[in-house]
Amino acid sequence: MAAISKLEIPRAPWWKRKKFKDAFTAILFALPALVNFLVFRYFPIIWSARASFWEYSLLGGFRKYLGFGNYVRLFGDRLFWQSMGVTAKFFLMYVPIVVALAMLLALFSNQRKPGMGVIRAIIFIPVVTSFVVVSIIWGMLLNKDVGLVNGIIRSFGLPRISFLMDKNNALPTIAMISIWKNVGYSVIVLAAGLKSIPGEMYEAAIVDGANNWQRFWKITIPMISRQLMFVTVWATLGAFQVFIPVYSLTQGGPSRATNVIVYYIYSKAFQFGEMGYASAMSMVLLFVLLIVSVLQMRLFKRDY
Amino acid sequence: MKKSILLIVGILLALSLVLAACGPQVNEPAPGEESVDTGDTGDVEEPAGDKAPVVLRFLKISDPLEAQAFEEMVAEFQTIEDGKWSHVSVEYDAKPFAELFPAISRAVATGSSVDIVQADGPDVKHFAYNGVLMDLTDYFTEEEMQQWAPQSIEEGSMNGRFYGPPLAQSCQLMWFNEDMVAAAGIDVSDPSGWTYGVDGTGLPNWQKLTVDEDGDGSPEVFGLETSGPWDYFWRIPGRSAGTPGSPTYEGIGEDGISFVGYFDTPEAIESYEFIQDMVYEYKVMSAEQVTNQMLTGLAATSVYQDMIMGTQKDSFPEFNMGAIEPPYFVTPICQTGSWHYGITATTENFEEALAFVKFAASDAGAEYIWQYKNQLPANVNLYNSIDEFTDPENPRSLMAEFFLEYGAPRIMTPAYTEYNALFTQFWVSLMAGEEDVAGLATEYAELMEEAAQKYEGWNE
Amino acid sequence: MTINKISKEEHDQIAKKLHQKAVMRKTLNAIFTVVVYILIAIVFIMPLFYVIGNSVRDSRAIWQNAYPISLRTFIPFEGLTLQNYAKTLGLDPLGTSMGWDISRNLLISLLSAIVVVCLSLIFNTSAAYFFGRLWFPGKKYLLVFVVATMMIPSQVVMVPLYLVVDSLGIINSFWALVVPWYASPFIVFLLTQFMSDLPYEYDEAAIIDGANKWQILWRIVIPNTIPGLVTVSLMEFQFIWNEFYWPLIAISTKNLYPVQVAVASQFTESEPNWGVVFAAMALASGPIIILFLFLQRYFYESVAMSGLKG
Repeated sequence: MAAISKLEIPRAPWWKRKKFKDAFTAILFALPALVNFLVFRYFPIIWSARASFWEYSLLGGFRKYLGFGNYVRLFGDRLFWQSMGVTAKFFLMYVPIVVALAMLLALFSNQRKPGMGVIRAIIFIPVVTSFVVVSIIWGMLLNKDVGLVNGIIRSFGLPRISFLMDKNNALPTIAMISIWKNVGYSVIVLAAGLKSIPGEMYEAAIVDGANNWQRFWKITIPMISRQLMFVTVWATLGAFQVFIPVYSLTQGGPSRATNVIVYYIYSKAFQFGEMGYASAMSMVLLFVLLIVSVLQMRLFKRDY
Repeated sequence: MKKSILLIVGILLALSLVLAACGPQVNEPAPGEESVDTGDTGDVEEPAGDKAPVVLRFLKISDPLEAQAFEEMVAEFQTIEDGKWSHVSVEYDAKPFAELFPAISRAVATGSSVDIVQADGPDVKHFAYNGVLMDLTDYFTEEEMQQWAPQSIEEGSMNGRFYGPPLAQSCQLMWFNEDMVAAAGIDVSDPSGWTYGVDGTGLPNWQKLTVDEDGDGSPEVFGLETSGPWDYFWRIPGRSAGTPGSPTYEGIGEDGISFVGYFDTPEAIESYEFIQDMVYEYKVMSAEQVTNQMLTGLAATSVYQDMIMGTQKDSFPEFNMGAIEPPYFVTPICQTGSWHYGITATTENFEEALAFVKFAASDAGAEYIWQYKNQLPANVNLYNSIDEFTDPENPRSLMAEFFLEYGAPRIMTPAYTEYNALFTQFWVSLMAGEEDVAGLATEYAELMEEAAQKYEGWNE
Repeated sequence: MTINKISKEEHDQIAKKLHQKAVMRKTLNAIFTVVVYILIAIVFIMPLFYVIGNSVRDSRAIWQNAYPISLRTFIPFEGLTLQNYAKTLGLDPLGTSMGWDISRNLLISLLSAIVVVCLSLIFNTSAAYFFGRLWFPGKKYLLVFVVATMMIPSQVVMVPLYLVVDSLGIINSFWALVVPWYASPFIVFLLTQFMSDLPYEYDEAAIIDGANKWQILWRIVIPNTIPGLVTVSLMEFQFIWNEFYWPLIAISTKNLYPVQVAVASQFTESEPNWGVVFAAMALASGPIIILFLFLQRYFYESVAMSGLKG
């Protein structure tokens, strides 16, 4: 066998190589969007990060350089930890229920029966109404003495429930209102996913003798796993960022039962004039959310 | 199908871009719009001396009634002193009520140009401390200062320096449902307020007024309306539990930053406990707020400002409403304070802004505010000139009297926003039935003091 | 081997029984569906009913029927009036002079939402194409970077965002409502999920045919992700329509306020005119719902038409 001499293939400079060209044309697609994120999202975040190293208030400006002072302070701030605890509790109350409920509603409304499009629109209605308005109205409906919900409860002969003025009920109530408001979002995402599952798969499964349960877990769930992941991550972000119903209805109380982290940050920034400290807390929150989201994405076994 | 959609999308986009480009970047006058004409006054009369048009930017709450008042006020302002100020016009940046304070903070932080701000009385010190407002002490004469009630001057000042003339004032009375009160056989011919407390005159009255027919523990009609959990309403019982000059009454130390020993005195704690008992033990008050509780017949009495008269007239014309002095423990008191005008430290039109503010806060300007807002004026002369205040049958005259005799400004501290936020938390917890009231009060007194520490030395 | 023969009567009986069972199951199913349907409808639509029901009443009637809450609270049996809508749309001069007229604000909201959706369709779609189907070293990390921007509370970044927009010279203008949102990390993230679902065989086939990335996007990916695109456009529209905090600080002239801010401005210090406020709220929510109902039909059609995985 004749020795195959090494062929001298002239190598192109890196900027002319196919891989580079591929990558270059690829990134062009994302470039305008990336520029937007850089300018309108990253820059403000970095600006806030800078503010987190100062004693900064909106009215007073950058008063004093603190280095890591704000961060040290927040680790020792028991209210900060209490607030993170409340948020974690809220997360546990909110995310599983909103995802499960969205799944059920998506399945229900995906039936080929008349009026399903309408019911999807109805479920979506809370999403499009202003949260401020919704909070006020729910506040009225949940009033212990004159609210509709308690009226219904009474007609079953049960004792009245104090929803928002009770330190044990307040957080679940806020969770319930948030779920009501946001589930529509997830329903349409999941519904879009469900719609794209070909019917033949189910038919084949039925022929193979699979029952409802098996069809659900072995076909439906895997086929919409991307949408499910999205919905879960989105619900998580939403849970950690809940603010408006707390702001409108409970102001963090009673007895700090609803002192979620964003409300605490807001109150520090705007009521206590400590924007620098609030920025530091936001940075920590960002970090926590990042970790939680990456973990979730790993859990769904997507290659992110 | 795809192509036609693209076409539609493209046309829509182009249309909206064109329309958007044609849209005004700055305000455009429309009939009745809040923003007044920008510079082209339309008056043919030449102003005395040619001045370039000046537009004052006024950051305030959005309120259609106020807007109308200001429109007329500015029109008159432009004619005073032989039209000296006819080149001045005012542009309004109106924010929803709850968002005004953050809006002012953000305006300062972002350096946007604002000449005049509408500041809530207790916030004036906060703004002054941060250098947001211009010190106006040297620009007002003694005479001018006497136009206003002493409470207004205190509220608009910090450390003896004057920063903000008042727009209006406020005070509270106890309003009641005349029919219910008569039916319960309660005599209200004497306007003195009822007293809180287990042995007070109020409790038996409220118990008579509370109606719980189905006995489920949730009355159909409560004795006293539950107003919002704000310092403006609910600091009153605490302070009224002390005699004037006592720490309980003052509510805050002389240094304006000490709360421990003022917020949580034994008398104050007793008062908090009593109010809580009114909800849970005597059940004459609901824990939760209900909008228009009294006017809709769900409560018999209500402690509120004069604005309730407007609401009653507009939305509840058949309601027979009476008024007597508000309830108290030991010392009658109503908390005063409403909006003030403030001139920003960064204004470039100080002369014009000052002239406008002076006019607005003068009797002439205050008349316009009164006409449209029907709110207790801060200008004392108006108590004698306006019919509603001189007519003894009208509750407003009772309010004016009570205001002058017992009106006390809310606690004076540059840390008011912090304090107010904490007070609301405290009050909500109290109304939710927190058992250890003393512990709660002390905890919050400490938090308030902690939040106020950064202002140390503000009044030296 | 004997086959058990059933007599014709037995056969008919069994058939009838099975048929009855099937019918009963179907009716139970139908009843169940209807009951659940009604429950869902009530729970989700009730507050809106409250708003709409009250928007056609004058303030007095609103309060007369407010408590205790009953059917009357929701359904206006009396006091019907369209005056509130007239006032809030500027058809009644009283409404304009009192500053209740939100017709211009509705227009602003509509325009800004449409412009953003169009821009978003262009820029978000291409970015999602990149993240969903193209190769790029470290693409994973880039996506995480993008998603991370969603994790910070918006109130904190509002002030620096204001500074950026101000330095671009577009503060307090229509563009302030649009430019920061021409691309959105949330939409990119969501669209990426939809786009990465398509099997790569399509792309490969196209490449063999000599198509470049752009043509693949245009001819293959987009037509197959129309349900996703429609969904996303709707979300983007809704996001812009319901925006409150950003326009509140970016805009300082009433003419340029989008509708949500205008509606919030109606809750004044003194008593708001509740009838007008409810009418404004109804108008502020109405268009989106109608849009969604309309799009629902398109949704079905497009899925059927796209021949996806058929």
